[in-house]
Amino acid sequence: MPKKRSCFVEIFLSTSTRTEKSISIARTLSAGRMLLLMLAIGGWLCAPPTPVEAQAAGNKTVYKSSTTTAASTAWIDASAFWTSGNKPDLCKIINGILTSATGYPTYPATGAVIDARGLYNSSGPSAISCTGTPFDNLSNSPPPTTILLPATNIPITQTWVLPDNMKIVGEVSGTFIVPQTGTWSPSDVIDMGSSAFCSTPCSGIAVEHLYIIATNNPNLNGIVNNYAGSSSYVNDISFKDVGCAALVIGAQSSDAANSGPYTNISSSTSVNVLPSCSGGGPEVSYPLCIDIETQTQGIRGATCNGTTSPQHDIVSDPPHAAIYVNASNNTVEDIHVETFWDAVQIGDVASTMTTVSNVLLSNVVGGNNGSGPVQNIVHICGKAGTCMSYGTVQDVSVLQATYVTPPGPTAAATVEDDVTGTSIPVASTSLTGMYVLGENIDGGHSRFSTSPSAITSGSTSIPTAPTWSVGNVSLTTNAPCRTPGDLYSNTGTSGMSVYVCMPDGWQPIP
Amino acid sequence: MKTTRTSVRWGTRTFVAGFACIGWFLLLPTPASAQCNTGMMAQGFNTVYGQCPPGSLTINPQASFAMVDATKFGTSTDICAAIATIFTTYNSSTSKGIVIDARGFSSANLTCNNGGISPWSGSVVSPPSVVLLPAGSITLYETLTLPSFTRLVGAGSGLTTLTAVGSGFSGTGDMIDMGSKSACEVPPQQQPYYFRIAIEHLALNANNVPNLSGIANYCSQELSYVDDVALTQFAAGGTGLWLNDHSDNSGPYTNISYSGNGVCAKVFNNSGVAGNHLNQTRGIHGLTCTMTGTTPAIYLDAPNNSLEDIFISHTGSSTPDGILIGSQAPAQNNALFNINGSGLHDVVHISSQTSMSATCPASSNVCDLSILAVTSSGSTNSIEDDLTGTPPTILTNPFVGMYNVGEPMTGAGYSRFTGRAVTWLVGRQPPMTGACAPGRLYSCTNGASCNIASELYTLWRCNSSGAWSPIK
Repeated sequence: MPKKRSCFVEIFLSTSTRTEKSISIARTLSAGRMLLLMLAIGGWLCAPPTPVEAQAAGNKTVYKSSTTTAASTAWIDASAFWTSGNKPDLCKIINGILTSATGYPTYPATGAVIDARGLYNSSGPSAISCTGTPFDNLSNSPPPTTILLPATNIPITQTWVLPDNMKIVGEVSGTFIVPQTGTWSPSDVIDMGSSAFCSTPCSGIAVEHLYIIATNNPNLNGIVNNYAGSSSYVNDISFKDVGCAALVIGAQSSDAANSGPYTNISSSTSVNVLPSCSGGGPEVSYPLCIDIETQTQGIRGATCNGTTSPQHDIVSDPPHAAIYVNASNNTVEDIHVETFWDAVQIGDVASTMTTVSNVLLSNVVGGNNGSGPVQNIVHICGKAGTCMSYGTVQDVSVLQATYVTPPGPTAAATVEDDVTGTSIPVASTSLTGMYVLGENIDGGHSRFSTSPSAITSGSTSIPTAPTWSVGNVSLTTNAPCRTPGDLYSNTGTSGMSVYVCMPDGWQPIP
Repeated sequence: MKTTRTSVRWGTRTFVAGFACIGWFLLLPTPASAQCNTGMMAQGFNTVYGQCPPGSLTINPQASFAMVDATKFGTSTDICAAIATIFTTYNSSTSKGIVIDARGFSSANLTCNNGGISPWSGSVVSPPSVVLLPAGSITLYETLTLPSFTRLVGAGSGLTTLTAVGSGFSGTGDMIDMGSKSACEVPPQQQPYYFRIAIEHLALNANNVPNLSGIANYCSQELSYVDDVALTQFAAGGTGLWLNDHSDNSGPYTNISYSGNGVCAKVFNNSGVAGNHLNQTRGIHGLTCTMTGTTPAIYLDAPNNSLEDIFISHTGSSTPDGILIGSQAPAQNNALFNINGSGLHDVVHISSQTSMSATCPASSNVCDLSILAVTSSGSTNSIEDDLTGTPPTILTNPFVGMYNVGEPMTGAGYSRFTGRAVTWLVGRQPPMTGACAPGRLYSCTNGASCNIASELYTLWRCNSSGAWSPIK
């Protein structure tokens, strides 16, 4: 566009110079020269839209009127700053934009959308570059920003610590974040917020539509949220070969409370136990899929594929859970887990003084991907069990816990409740429709289940979950029943209306 | 004269400059390559300001490959032809996908035809793509078969509408397939399984074409979902949302509306096919069915699914069911939350159908079903449960807070808990005299107020005569 401007200046200068030098010159211009001048002016007027306003690199062009274009500051296109090499340095470019570095325009005070989808490796299908992180040298959080990442491999060597009101969004078609060996402190691929960026809980931090592939450096956590609270969420993320925790929420700080929801998570790892994982809750075992250590807006939709053999040593290798729920007031729904010891474990906290309550699980399915079955679909930690530790767990509702039966070894229980010493064994039913654990009252626990559990054969007795059944026939006194304490209501009009299961069989309640 | 010479000199420059300017402006705007590099076509890409060529002291427009504008390809109205053309020119060696912006197409007379071939199933292997569709009605001529890593995004479910052309519609009988139907309909061990197919913010108008369905998922699984989609004018024989057989781990399917004579939604597992697949999804969350036909609105015939926030209304002389569970295939361990129905026979109907492949005890298709919050307005029943015996358990109450049916107890009915029918009541006074449902229990919690005939009782049962009698 400067060329066009030069033309105009040239014409302007030529005419104005004449005016300054001699007003009579205009009168002496020949008709032909006048025609040329008119053509030039006419050409200018008939020309395609031309920019007349100052523009900054990275701004997209928009029409200001029917004939002129101008720069839009709504979006900043990162590809405008890719000025050398076949592999653009995505992190350096984005960082330059955010920090208004030399050669970059001043970052808008109201924030912007940084569109980096135009960056690619022009020499072939390999990765682009990433020096440092996009958020280096930020002393404070920049204005609210959304970064659109390209569909390519992005190798990173340091944790991306997202500032306040920062959203990073990949392309569903394949934005791969690929951590390499490097200086990792903390050992997280992405941190949502930090105490440096936010004196109070951060908000508005989001991560969407990404693959995180840690095959080259599995000794990491995936996404860790210790500092981002309301309006902060994770959606549509795949983790591959993350050897520690794929997603951790609130293990180091309570600032992540009320964050979420965390939706559409998929994690698959071929990594076995690593010696140096940290960052999750104090009692968790790695590798794991999701660790919830604070109240959130829930986990909605997750598939977790593990590789750890369920054969474990309780002392040296405590049972691994795919999902730990170690905080009150959480919902976990639409979950599919394969080959972890527990699919969902509740209340594995360091102190019995810590209460984990008001937890709702819905539609939890466990299976076996060929490396061993899930042993417990839902495991409620308590004194009687095998969790690393336990707190006070109460008011837990489980709706639909299932073990999907493939060929080969099978799970132990759909619900393992160490608080009351109850197990609903898969041998009895691979399905649990409803299991509700209430609170400890006068030495017992309020509880209800629609899944009757069996007493094992032989002399071994498994604690059982009595239930209440309904039918329209009367029962024969002393007829076999399954679980002492079961109730039966007869809706028919003959016989007794209520029976109780006693050790010697069904007995009518007179 | 000096002045004249000066005038002549400047006049010449004026001539040259003017001529140069005219020449400049007569050039067609050909976007420069991004970063002024070469090797990719810049046609259709947005322009941004940048240092072009590198090191230039001036800021010039250049192409950005962030997204490609589809209006610069193909005809002026055939969006799918443009998409197909873009796929043929896509350079897969330099990126893992492309964003196609078709929002610039005029909203009049838009079509998706491409010679009757889905752009994603043509001779060229389509790359991973995000396609942004414009607002307006787009006449659809053939089934759009979406491969893995495809996201189809409209401007809104009330703004972007794909309308079936009519009887000339070609394809699989569905307007959009998530994955290839033919590829999915092979033995499980041979299936390709698709991933990351998403459909968002658009409407499908079936144009009352008989037997035409809307969105069908045959074997698209992890991270595949549908959100904010309106399904309208579906004729008998068509299904709005069909999750068929191998959609495991797909979803969630959220914020969907349907109107028509056919079926609103089906979740079906073909248990006769070998393999470990159950069609267990991440559920349907937010579905409105406006029904005028004679079939149930929703068939739930697969295990381990959640249906949440479902509203079903029916008008017409017939009164079909709202959600029919387990009538065609095993459907154990499902959860239903907040189901609201009007003009129906049963808002929720639990079938007693059995099958050889059923996991539930006694070969029942249904067991371990949890239902929370059912509302019936103008429907005959809120819940009909055929599992628990003959006659079936029928709840006619307009509101049911909880209905959980578990599994059969040997010779002793079904485990069950509900706030209606046979339930456990609690009060601070003894139960009122009069008829009650046999088998109910009643706990009195107020000590001295719980006496009858000068004796204190805390627990009552409703006896087989339909009257309360104290136990202890």
